[in-house]
Order: sequence, then structure tokens, then C-alpha cells
Amino acid sequence: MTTAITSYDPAVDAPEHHHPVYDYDSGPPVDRGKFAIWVFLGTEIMFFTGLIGTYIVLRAGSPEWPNPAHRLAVGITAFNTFVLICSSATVVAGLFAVQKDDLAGLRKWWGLSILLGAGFVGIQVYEYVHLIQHGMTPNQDLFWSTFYLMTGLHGIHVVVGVLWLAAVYVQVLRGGFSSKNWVGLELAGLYWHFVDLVWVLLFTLIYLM
Amino acid sequence: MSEHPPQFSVKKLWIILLALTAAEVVYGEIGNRNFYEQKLLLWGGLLIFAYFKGYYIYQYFMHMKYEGAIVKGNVWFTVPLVIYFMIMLWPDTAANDKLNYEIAHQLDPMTGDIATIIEGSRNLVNEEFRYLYDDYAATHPGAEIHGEGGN
Repeated sequence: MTTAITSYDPAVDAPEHHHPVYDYDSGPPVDRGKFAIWVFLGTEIMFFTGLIGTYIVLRAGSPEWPNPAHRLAVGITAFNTFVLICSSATVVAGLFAVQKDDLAGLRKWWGLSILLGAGFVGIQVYEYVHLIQHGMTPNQDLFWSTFYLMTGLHGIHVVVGVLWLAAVYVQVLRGGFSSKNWVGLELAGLYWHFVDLVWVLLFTLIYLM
Repeated sequence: MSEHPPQFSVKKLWIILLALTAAEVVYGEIGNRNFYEQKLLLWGGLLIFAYFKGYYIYQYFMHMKYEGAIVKGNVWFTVPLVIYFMIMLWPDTAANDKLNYEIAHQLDPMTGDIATIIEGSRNLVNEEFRYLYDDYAATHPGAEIHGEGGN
């Protein structure tokens, strides 16, 4: 038995935008945004590997290396590390909140993350100003040039991260996320955690070792 | 996206990370004061703390523990590149007595001239390059140079 087509309404019968519709997905079995951010983070791993590797070579090639505890304020930077770890925790808390459709919780935790991230930048700027006022400029010696290079490039990453979190927060306030749509939050969060992870290494290498 | 990945206790992880950071700072302070010259003990201990902090951030905050092979593969492809990079750098780090970085000096912030060469650094560079330090001492009578061969 055959069924004759008696009427054809493009608004109903035609595929949307006239794109072919397949019953399979030709992309990787993972969210494209997440795939892309991890490729990007892979390049960032190589970037910081080059930076840290160069630092190790220069330090190993230096006849003397000052004890960082004699030159840097470890206490205030330890506090700054605490601030950054807290911001990572609040980002995850925000993500978990939106997955439960707790939008008020998302707004609270995400806003707090931005404040903590900005606080980290503020403390680092304060540290820089204090050091430069005492003549500790990048051209003093290799210790200071590597210090400013590594913490400065990380600081730029933190600033970008804060701006990204803030841009996402605008979408949060507009109700752009829900328990069914939170990938945008996760991508910003992944970048932020990466920045946190790099700082854990830099803090140990530069301030404690 | 509607699938929710497993959730863990953020508070518990936060406490672990803060405890590790506090312990690392205390260990670093004690080590820098009491056994600064025992690099293996000091650096090894600090790197263990850093490793565990990084591990928890990577596995839980970045959710890698719950990801599949494709996402994990995006990170693991960097491992051979990092190893390759380390091998390329190894000659420089291993044979540091053959290096001649003029880096062990302090600049005068007012004039920009070298004000101090850290004690002993002249003898740590190759003999063929030591004339650089001696030339410097001859042309910069105001500079304070410590160590053998200095003024």
C-alpha cells in the first residue's frame, strides 16, 4: 500500500534552513566547546612548559641564586594563593548550583569568583608596586627578570580569566544558563582552573624553592 | 547539555587544597631557614605538595577524572612534547659549569651599570671567558666585584 502526498507545506515539511538532517553526529563524541578548550589548554601547557623550562635552565646555569625567602614576601603571596584556590572552588560551586537549577546560587558563587579573581590581581599589583618602589625592577638581575616574566604572563592570564568570568556573568544575569545549558560556564571554569593550576606550580618554583 | 556529570564535595576539596597550601608554606619556611642547602629534601618535599595540589585541581575541579578518552587525549598529547623539550634542555641544565651566563650580577638602579658580581661567579664560568669579568673590572673602576679576580 502506498500513501500519496496530498499536500506539501514548506513551513511544516521542509527541514529547518533546508539543511540535511542526519540521524548521526559526524563530530567527536564530546561537546565541541569542551574539545576546543582542551586543545587550547594543551597549547597553554606547552607555553608554560617553555617558560618554566627556560627558567630552570637559567637558574641551573647561574652560579648563585638568591634565597627567594630573602627577597619576596611569601606570606602575602601565600594568601593570594589561598584567594585563587577559593575562586576555583566557588566556580565549581556555581557550576554545581546551575546543574541543580539553583540560579540564585549560581549568581552568588559566580559573582564571588569574579571578586576573588580581581582580588588576586589587586594583590599582585600591590606586590609589584611595592617591589618597584624599592628598586626591584626587572633589569636588576636574572632573579627579578624571570620573576616578572613568569608572574606577569600568569597575571595576564588571570586578567583574561576575570574578564571571561565577567562576560559569562552578564549571561548569567540575563538568565542564559539552566540545568540543561551550562557548557558556557564549564568552559570559562576550565580556563580558570588551569590558571589556578599554573599558579600552584609557579608559587612553589618562584617563591618557595 | 542535559547530562549531569558526578558531583563531589567542593567543601572537602577546598579544605584539602588549603591544608596542602598551608603545609607547603610552613615546610618551605622551615626548609629555607634550616636546610636550604639540602636541595633534594627541600625541593623534593615542595614538589610533592605542588603535585598533590595540581592533581586535585586537575582531576576534580577540571573534572578530568570523569572525562572520556578524547578529552584526556587532548592533554596526554602534550606529555611526549614536554619530555622532548626536557631532553632538548637537558645539556644546558646538566652541564651548567660550562655555561657563561653573565647573570650573577646586580645592577645599580641609578646608573644601570653592574654594581656587584656575586662572589665566586667568575670562577664558575669557563676559563676562556673569565677575561670578560677582568675586562669589566678594568673598565669600571667604580664597580664592586667580589670573588677571586675582582678588585
